[in-house]
Order: sequence, then structure tokens, then C-alpha cells
Amino acid sequence: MSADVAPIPSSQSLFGDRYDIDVAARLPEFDTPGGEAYAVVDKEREDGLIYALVHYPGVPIRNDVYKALKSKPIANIICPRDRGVSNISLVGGAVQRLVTIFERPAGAVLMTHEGVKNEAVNAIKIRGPVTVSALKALAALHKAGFSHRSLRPTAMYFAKPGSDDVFIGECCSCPPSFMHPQALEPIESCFADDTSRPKTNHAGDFYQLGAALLCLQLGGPLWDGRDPATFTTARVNQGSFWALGGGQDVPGAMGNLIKGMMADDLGERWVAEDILDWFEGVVKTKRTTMKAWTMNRPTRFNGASYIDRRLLADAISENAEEGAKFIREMNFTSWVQMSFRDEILDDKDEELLGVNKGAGLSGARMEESRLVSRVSMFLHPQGPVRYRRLSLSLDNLGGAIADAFVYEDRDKVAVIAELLDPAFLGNLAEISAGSNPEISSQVTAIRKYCDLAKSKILGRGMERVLYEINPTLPCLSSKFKNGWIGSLEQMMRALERMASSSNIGSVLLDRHVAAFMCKHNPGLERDFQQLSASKGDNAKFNALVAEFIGKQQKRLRLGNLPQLTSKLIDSLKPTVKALKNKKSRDRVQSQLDKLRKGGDLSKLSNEMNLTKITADDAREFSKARGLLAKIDKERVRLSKPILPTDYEAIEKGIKGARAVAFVGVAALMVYWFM
Amino acid sequence: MNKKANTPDQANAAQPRFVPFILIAALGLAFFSWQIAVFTLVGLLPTFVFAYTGVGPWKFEKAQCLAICNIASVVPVVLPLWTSPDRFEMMITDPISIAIAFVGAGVGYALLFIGPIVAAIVLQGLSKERLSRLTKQRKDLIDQWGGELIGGTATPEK
Repeated sequence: MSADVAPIPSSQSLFGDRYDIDVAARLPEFDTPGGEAYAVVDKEREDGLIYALVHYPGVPIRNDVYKALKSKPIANIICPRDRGVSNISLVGGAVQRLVTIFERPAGAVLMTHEGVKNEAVNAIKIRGPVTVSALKALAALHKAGFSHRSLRPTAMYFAKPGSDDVFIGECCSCPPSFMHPQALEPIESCFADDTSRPKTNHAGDFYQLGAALLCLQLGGPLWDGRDPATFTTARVNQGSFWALGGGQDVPGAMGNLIKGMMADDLGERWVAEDILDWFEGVVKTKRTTMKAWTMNRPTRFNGASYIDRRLLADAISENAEEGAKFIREMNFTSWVQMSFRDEILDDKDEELLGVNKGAGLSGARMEESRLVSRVSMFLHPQGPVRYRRLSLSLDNLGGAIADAFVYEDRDKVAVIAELLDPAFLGNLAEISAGSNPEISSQVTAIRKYCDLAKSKILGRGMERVLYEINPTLPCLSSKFKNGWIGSLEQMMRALERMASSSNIGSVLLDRHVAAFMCKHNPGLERDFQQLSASKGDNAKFNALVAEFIGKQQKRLRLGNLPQLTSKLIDSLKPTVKALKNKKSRDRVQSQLDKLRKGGDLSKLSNEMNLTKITADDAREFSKARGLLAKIDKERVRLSKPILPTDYEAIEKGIKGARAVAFVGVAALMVYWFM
Repeated sequence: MNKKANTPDQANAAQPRFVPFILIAALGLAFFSWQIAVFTLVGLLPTFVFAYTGVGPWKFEKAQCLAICNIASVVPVVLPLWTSPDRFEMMITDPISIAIAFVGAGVGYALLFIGPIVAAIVLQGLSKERLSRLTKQRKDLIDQWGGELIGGTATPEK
């Protein structure tokens, strides 16, 4: 293990003691994009089957959903029972991870990840218990105020062997539709990257249920091997049902149900009431065409012809340079008038889109990307923000930012930081406000992160945005890659564990560590700025680090931290040595020795302010130097012999003579007149 | 000793302030006894000469010193003229009386000569004492702040 990586705690947590996770018994059918599933035994309560989901550190969790489902479980959905941090021995070594314990259905999964359908699944069951169970679960979840957005055929399970009752998978271990197969996403959200799908409304769940039922009905992994661009074109041209089914129809009532749920037009898509009507035999055939997105005439771009606005938006944003050239070279206003029947482009709109602005020399690439992004938003106002090959939903940026940091994709982080420009976002919101009223509130919500994103200061920057936007995310610093740091207290305990082998000062200068701590206590921003500013001054830096740790120890009431105390007091040696005043040096050293024995670094800030002592010492030393210079100058002057011809001697001599004369004469006068 | 040169103001200040004052006083005295006034003017000649010919720094103080001593020697000589003004002719022509009147000026000159010598001796003594105090203060400072105070690791000067 690298010396710079914090070791995990030597003792197991209470949670870890209670739940015995069998790492040899993987349960891949319960895996989600948020973690891996393992068999587990609850030592305190042995009723019912459970499994443990070991979370990936870089995937945000849906804490609100977890809390709601834990406190009030919903039937036919896998609900969490408990959650905690535990030490686990995985391949590659022991790690500390967040683990959620879920109720486990005893039956098999309806379809494996490889796309093999459970033999027990047949058309009758799909039409009956599978649909009813899923519908019950979704209705209850929607009633609780949440959407599922992770519904797929590989995460649907029979309640028990031989039972027809079905459970749908959990939905609290990752953001909505995080890494969900694009082919199983509703068309309104499939244009966004799989780490930043829009949260949308409950209609997305019905689409996912429809797609899952279609997979079960046709008996294969219909999402597998689909090229996203080609498949999206097919969906736009044929409708999602036909595109996903590869042209295969599902006859009869089941076909109606699936087609209804997979309708691409939100107004036509079946929701709970429509499905209940269907159960009662009321046939509601709905069309799945989407004329609203069709242009009056095809537009050629980059050698291809586009009739759908959304596809054209995707195409120009995929190649921003060509896209910008394409937009600038055409007469945009005429093109809009001829291509869009209901669209009127007035001067204000033109100004907003900025299609007539010159490319300029400086920042030309950024302006081109923004132009393309604005026009993409104009073409597909309900779609994601398309910017430099990224397609992001403003209401769900957390997963995308976390993903970029997990894979250390600095380019992606930089692009997102560039996107977080309030003026640009405001521009996009104005462009799409008419068709997408929600975007204004989304922009308002993320505007507060814009200043943070641009800042280079320690404790701010995109790392801070990461933790602000994903409040439950653990610290993603590589220094804590084996541990799970979800709070300041855990951070301090981890620092205590790594104190003997690592430089605590350099750990605090880690941008992730600083951002994480500032997120959990914004008051620390100033401390981190001071630490960053004093990097070059080792003595001052060490003193600040010790004081910082001491303050946290006191504030968090952590008790004694012997390793940290000893290490930091050792690191203060140069600081103490650098004190010029002998008395101060001796006094501080004796106080530090006392602190080392006690293990309580908080006294460092209580009883002695080392930074102030250092500053005072430097100031007093400067004064002493000045005084010494004066003394030396005076000594040189006084060392010279004084002659009667010296100015001072003449002055004093003459004045003295005058005084003597005056006194003498006065005495003589008194004598005479008496 | 960069203050050696007296300023022009100081050098010229003695004459206008000092001599007219004595002349006015003598004129006033003449209203009561012209003999005393004339003898006083004659007796104070060394002071007037210094006032008009003296150069160098501290001229005013020197002139003051000279004048005080000169007046001190003139007063006892002119006092008898108050009661016996007819002795004026005898006294103004008596070299002894004139010499007595001038003795004070001589004493004044002597004081001006001895003053700086005595002052130099006294100042030298005071300097030695102050020097030893400063040396102690310097040593304390170096003890307190270390050799770095004098730009290195040098041991404090004893």
C-alpha cells in the first residue's frame, strides 16, 4: 500500500460487525451501476433474505429515495433495510465501503444480463403478474413522490421460486437512469449522456416498463449491440417500439399495452390510469408519430440529410467546428422560415442565438462551441445542453461530474466548468424558455455553482462543485481510495490513521480533500486559503496545519488523536526552531511536549496561537534588529574621543560658561548690595 | 559633528538684538547721569568690539557671556559717579579705573576659552558610562535573540 493512501480502520464498524458480507458469493443479478451485490448474513435478525450492495465511491446515491423506502417500504420493489460503512476484503485488498442491505427476493431474475429469459416467464405471466406487480410498485413509488428510472428486464425478480409475484429492482443506489442502456430510455431523455439523463417525470418509468416488457415478450436483450446514433435515428424514423423490437410486432392486447407505454410523444404515452383501463379491457390505441419535430424540408449537413430537428441538433453538436461553419454560412433566418412551419425568428431571437456575430480571433473555439450549443438548444429546446460533444441535463449534472472525476477525465471536467457560465446558461434558458419552462429553474439552481467552478482557489473549483452538487458523495481523493470518507469526522479519523506514514500538510493541500471539507463546513474556506498561501513557508505552513487539525478536533469533539498530535508536533520542530526569541522558543517547546503527551491537538489553538507567536516573534525580531543598529551606531559615536573643538563640546562649553558668568555675577551683585 | 557651522541667522542675530539694547539703556541712563552713561559705554567697549568683530558659531551666547562679565566689572567702577559726578574727569582719564572696567571682559573671554575644554572632559566621562550601558543592552539583545540578530551565528560581544 502506498504511504500516501490512508489505511482503512483496523476494527470493523458496528454495522460491519452485524452484517457478515460473503465476498465470495457474488450476486451479479442485483448489481446496479451504483455497486456490486454480495450475499450477506444479518447476525442479529435472521428473518428474510437479504443482499448487500457494495457501493462504488464515485456514483452518487439517491439519499431521499433511500430514506423514504427504508422508513416506509413499498411492495413489489426491492427496498433497503440498512446502510453503513464496512470493511470488506475484495480482490486487490481490503477496502472500506458504503454498504446498503436490501431485502432480497428469493426467486430468480426474469432476464439475465446476457439476455437469457427465465423459463418461467411467458406471455401470460408478462401480461398478468409481471405487469401488475411492476405497476403496483411504480404507482406506490410515484405516490411517494419518486420516479424509479432504473427499470430494466435484468432487474426484475420473482418474489419466490414458483411464485408469480414480481419485484422490480431498487432505485436508490445511483442517479436516475445513470448508465441505463440508451435503448431502454424514453426518447425524450435518450439524447443526453448516460451519466446525466434528465430526471423527467413519472412517464419515463412507464416507458422503461414498456421497454422491459417488450424485451421479456420478445425474449432477448434488445438493447444489446445497438449503436446509439443509428438507433436514435431509427427511433425517430420508426418510433421507439418498432425500433427496439427490430420491426417485430407484439400482437393483441399485450402489443397495445407495450406500444402505449412506449409511445414517444409524452401526451400519448400510457400512464397508470391508461394501464388500469387496459386491464379492464378498454382498448386505447395510440399513434406513435412525432410530427412536431419534423422540419418542412430536409437539411443537408456534413453529407447527410436531416428531417428531424433533434437529430440535426445532435449532428451539429457532434462536430462543433463544421456545425459553426454550417450555421454561419447559411442565411439562418430564411432557413428557419423555410424549415419550421410554426417558428418565427424575430430580431431578439436572432440576437439570442448570436448567429450573425463574427467568429473573432480570441476565444474563437469557445464561441463556436457556444454558437452550436445555442442553435442546438433552439432546435431541441426540451433536449439536453449539447456542448463540446457532451449532452448534459441541467437537472442532473451530479452523475456526469462525478464520473468525470472518477475516470480523471480532466477535459470533461474543463468542459463542464466552461459550461457553468451564468451568462451562457441564461442565454440557453432564454432560447428554450418558451418550450421548456423548467429550464429557468434548473439554471437558477446551478447558477450558484458557477462562481465555484471558475475559481482556482483551494477549497473551491470543480471539485467543490462535485461535492456541492452530490452532497452524499464520499471524498474522491486518491489518498482515500481504500476508505469511505463521508463526513468530516471520518476524514479526521482517516488522517489520524495515515498520520504516521504520510505528510498531513500535503493531504490537506489535495483539492478533493479541501473541497470536501469546505462543502461540509464552508467556514473552512479561509483556513484552506491560508494554508495554500503559506505553502512556500514551511514553518508557517506546519503551524497552520497543526492549528487547523486542532480546531477540527475540538469542533468535532473527536477526543485524543495521538498519531496526528505526535506527527504534527514533530512537524512543528522547524517552526519552533525558527522562533528567534530564546524565551518564546523554550516556552513553546515545553508546551508542545506537554501536548504531545496529552494527544489533544485542540489545545494548540486554545492555549497557544502558534501562528500569532510566529508573527509576533518575526515582528519583535525586526524591532530588535532596528534597536541593535541604533545601539551600534551610538556605540561608534560614543567610542570616539571628545575634543574641545567638537561641536557638542563647544555648545555645552559656551552655554556652560554663560551660565557660570550669570551665576557668578548674580552672586557678586548680591554680595555687593548686601 | 555635522552641526559645526552656525547658520547665518544665528551669526547675525547677536548684533541687532544686543548692541541697540545696550545703547538705548545707556541713552536712558544719560537722562539721570550723563557721566555714568559715558563711562559705561567706554567700559563696555570690549563687548561692543566683540559684537561687531566676533565670528563663528554661538556668537550670541559668547557675547552674552562677555557682556555679563563686562557689566559686572563696570558696575562697581561707575557706582561712585552717582554720588560724585565731578569725579568723572579723573576717572575717565585714570587707566586703573578703565582697566578694572575691562577686567570683567577678560574673565568672560577666559570662561569662553575654558568652557569647551571642561565640557569635553565632562562629556567624555558621560560617554563612557553610556557606552558601557549600551554594551550591556546589546549583549542582552543578542542573548535573547541569538547570533542571527547580528547577521549570523557570531557570539555576542563581551
